[in-house]
Amino acid sequence: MNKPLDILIKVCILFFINQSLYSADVNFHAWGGSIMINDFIKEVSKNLKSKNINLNHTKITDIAESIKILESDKKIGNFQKGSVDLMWVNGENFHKLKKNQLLFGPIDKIENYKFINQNDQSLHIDFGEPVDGLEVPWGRAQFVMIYDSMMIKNPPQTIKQLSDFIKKNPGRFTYPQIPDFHGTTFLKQLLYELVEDKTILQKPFSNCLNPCLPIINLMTFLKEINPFLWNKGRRFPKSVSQTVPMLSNRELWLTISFNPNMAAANVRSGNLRDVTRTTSFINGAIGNTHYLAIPFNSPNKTAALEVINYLISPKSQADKSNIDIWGDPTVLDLNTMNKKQKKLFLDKESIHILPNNQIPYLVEPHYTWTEAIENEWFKTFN
Amino acid sequence: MNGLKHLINQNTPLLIIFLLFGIIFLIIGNIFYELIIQLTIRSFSNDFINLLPSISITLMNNLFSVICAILIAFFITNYLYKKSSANSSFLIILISFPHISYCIGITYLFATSGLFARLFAIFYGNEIPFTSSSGDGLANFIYILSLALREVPFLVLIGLSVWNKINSNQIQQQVSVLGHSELSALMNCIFPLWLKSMGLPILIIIAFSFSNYEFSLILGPQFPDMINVKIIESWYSSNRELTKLLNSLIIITVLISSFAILILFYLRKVTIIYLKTTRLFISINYNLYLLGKYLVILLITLFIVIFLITFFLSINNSWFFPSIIPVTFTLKGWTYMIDNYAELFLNSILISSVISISSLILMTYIIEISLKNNKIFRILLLLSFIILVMPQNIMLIGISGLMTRLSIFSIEIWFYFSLFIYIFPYTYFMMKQTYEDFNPQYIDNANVLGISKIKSFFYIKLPLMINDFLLIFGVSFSVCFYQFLQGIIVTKGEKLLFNNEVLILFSGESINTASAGSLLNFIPAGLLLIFIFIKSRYARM
Repeated sequence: MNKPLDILIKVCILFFINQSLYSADVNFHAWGGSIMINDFIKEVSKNLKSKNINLNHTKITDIAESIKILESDKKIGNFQKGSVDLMWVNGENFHKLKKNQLLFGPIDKIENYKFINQNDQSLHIDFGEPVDGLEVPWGRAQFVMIYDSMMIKNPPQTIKQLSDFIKKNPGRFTYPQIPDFHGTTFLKQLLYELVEDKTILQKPFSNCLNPCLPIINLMTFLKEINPFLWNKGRRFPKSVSQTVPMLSNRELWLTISFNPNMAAANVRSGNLRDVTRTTSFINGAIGNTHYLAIPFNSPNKTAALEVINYLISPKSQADKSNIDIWGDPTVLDLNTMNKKQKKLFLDKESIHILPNNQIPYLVEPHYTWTEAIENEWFKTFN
Repeated sequence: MNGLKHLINQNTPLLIIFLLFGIIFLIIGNIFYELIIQLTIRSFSNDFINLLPSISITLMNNLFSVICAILIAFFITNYLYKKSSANSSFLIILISFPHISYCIGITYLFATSGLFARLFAIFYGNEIPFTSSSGDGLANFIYILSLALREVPFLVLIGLSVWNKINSNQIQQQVSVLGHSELSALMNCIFPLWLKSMGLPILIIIAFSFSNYEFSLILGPQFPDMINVKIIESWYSSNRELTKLLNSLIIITVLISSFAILILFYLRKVTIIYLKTTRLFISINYNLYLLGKYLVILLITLFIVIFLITFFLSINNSWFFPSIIPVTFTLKGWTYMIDNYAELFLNSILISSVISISSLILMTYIIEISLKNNKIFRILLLLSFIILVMPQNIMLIGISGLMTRLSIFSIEIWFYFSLFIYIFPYTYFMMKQTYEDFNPQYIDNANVLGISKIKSFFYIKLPLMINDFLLIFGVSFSVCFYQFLQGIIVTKGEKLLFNNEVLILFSGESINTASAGSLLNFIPAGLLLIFIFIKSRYARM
C-alpha cells in the first residue's frame, strides 16, 4: 500500500479508537426558551470538548417532560440505559423526583463543591425539602420588580405601596396566570408580606389551621386589586416573557421577574427601554436556588458529574453571572476563592440592576404551599 | 407456488391495514383502559360540573368558528369561481402559512399596544397605549374570527373543486329562466348542493378545532381556559389537582368533539332541507359576488399584515409604541436560528419528506392491489375517520401510554408512527379522489395490448397522475412539517421537529428569534406548494 495513505489510515483509526474510548455523551435536559441561556450552554459544551465530553442540550419546554420520561423508565424497568444524563431542576419537581427515587446521588463529592457556601441554608434546602446531596446548586434567583422609570418615579417596595400604585394606575400592572412559576412566586411573595409569623411558611401547609388565615388574607388582597389589574383582571399573561413587550410598549408600567439581571439583559438586547429599572420588596424578597441533578438511570453518570463540576467552577459561574452572557447570580462563596478567582466576579456596573445584597433573601415557602396557593387561586379566579 | 404468491400479494394490503387498525385499536383501548382504572363516575361528574364553563366556551367557540368558516368559504368560492379559479393560487400560500406565526400576528394586531392601537395613536397623538379593558367577550370573538379565517383557505380550495362538479352555471341559468333572483340560485340551489359535498373537510376542521393547542393558548379566552389548553396544562403540571383532571379532560374532549360533529351535521341537514324547501331568497337580490370579493380582500390583507408583523418582529431591535415600524433593525434572530437550528431544520425536512413519500407509496400500493375490492376502501375510510375524529392530543396521550406499556419499540419509531398516522388520512382521501378522477379506459386499452400491470402503472398512470401525486406529497409534507404535539407528548422533548423549537422560543423572551424561526418554518412547505401549484396549475382533492 502507498505509505502516506497507510499512515493516514492508521492515524484515523487511532483517532476513532481514542474518541470512542474516552468521549462520553451527556444529554442535558434544560429549558430552551432563552437564547442567552442556550448560548451559554453551547459555550460550555465547546469548553467541555477538551475533556472529551459531548454535552447535548435537549431544549425542553418544561422539566415535567423529562420527569415523565424517568417515571416511564422506572415503570418499565429501564435502570441502566436512560436517555437523560443531567437535569436543570428545583422546587416541586425536585420533590417529585426525590419522593419517587428517580435521582442518583449523593453527587456533592465533586471537587468544586468546596466553593459552595456550606452554611447558606437557602442552597441546601429546596422549597423546604432538604437537598441531601441529590442535587447541586447551579444558580440563584431573587424576586424583583421591573419598572419604567419614566412612568413611575417612586416604585413600590411594600405591599401597601404596591396596592396604592395598582389602584392609582389602573390597568398598568398584572401578574402571570397561575400555575405559571412566576405568577405563583408573586403570590408567595405577597404571602410573606401578609403573614406576621413568617416561620409558618417553612412548615408544611397542613400545619396551617383550617381555614388557613394567611391564604384567606392573600385571596382577599388579590380580590381587592383584581379590578385594577390589566384588562380589569379578566385576562392574565401566560408567562412573564409575555409581559416584557407589554412593559416596553408602556402597556404595563411594572412587571415581575425572578432574575435580578433580567432588565439589564433585555435593555442590552433592545427588548426593553433604557429607562427600565429594577426594584423589590424592601423587607425581603423570595430567593431560590436552581440545581443540577443526575437521574437514576443515566448511563453516563461519571461524565455528568464532570459536567456539574465544570458548571460550578469559578470560571463557569463567573461567566454565568455576567450580564452580557446570562446574568444569573452565582451560588459560590467568594470567600472560598483565591484572588485570581475572585477577580472573575467583578461586577459590571449597570443602572438597570439591583446592587448585590441590597434586598434580604427570603427562603422559598415549603413546597406544599405552592399547591395550596394555586388551588385556592383556581377556586377564586378560575 | 404462483398461486401462493398471488394469494400473498392480494392479501398484503389487508394485512397492512389490519396491522394499522390493530395499533390504533390498542392506542384507543389503552386510553380507555387507563380511564376505567383511574376514573370513577363520581370524580368525573364532579370534574364535569367544575369544568362546565370551560366546556361551554370550548364548544361554542369552536362551533361558531366552523360555521363562520363555512359561510365565508362559500362566499369566497362563489367569487373565485366566477372570477376564474386560476386566481386561487394564493390559497396554497395561505394554507401553508404556519399557525404559530398566524396566532402571534393576530395577537400583535389586536393588542392594546398592537398595530391597530398604533395606527389610532397617529391620529389621537397618544404616546402611551390606553389601558385595556377588553374582557373575554372580545377574546372569544377574536378566537372565533381568527380560527374561522385560518380554516377558510383550506375549505375554499376543496370548495372550488366541489363547485366545479355542481355545474353552477347551468343551475343559475335555469333558475333565472324561472324568474328567480341570482341570490336564490346561489342560496336555494347551489349552497345546499355544495354543503352536502363538504362533509369531509368540515369534519377535518372540527377535529382540528378541538385538538389545536396554539390557537386556544395564544388567542383563546382565559377565564375559563379552553379544554384544549387545560389538557396540555394538566399533562405538564406537577400540581396533583391538575394532574388528576387529565382523565376527565380526555373523556370531555371526546364527548364534546363528537357532540359538535353531531350538531354540525344535523345543522347541515336542516339547513339543506330548509333552503331547498323554502323560497326565502326568491325576490331578494343582494350582490354576494361583491361580498365574496371583500372577503377575499380581507383575507389576503390579513395574511399580508400578519406576515409583515412577523417579519418586522424577526428583524426589530427596538420596536416600541407608538412607532408603526421598528426603529432599529438586526438580523441576529435569523443568524441565531440558522447557526443553531440549521441541522434540525434540514432534519425536519428530511423526516417530513420520508414520511410523506412512504405514506404515498404505501397508499398507492394498497389502492393499486385492491382497486376492485370495496371492502378495503371501507376499512381505509373507517380508519381515516377514526384518526381524524379522535382529537390529536388524546390520540397522542394514548400513544405515549401504549409506548410505556409495550416498551418494545424505540421512542423514534413511535415518533415516526405518530407523525405517519396524521398523514395517512389526508393521503387516503386525496389519493382516492385522484383514482376516481382517472379514466380507466387507458388501463383497459393497455390490458388488451397485453401490457403488464406494473408497466401500465409506470408508463400510463404515473405520468397522467403525477401532478396529483405531487400535490398529495405537498399537502402531506406541510401537515407533517407543522406537527409539534408529538414532540411534547410522545417523545417528551427527546425527538423534535423544527416547529417544536419555534414554540419553545415563543415561551421565552426572544420574540425576534422566535419570529425568525416561524418564518423559516414557512419556507419549505410554502415553496414546495407554490412550485406544485405553478407546475400543475390546478388543485383538487
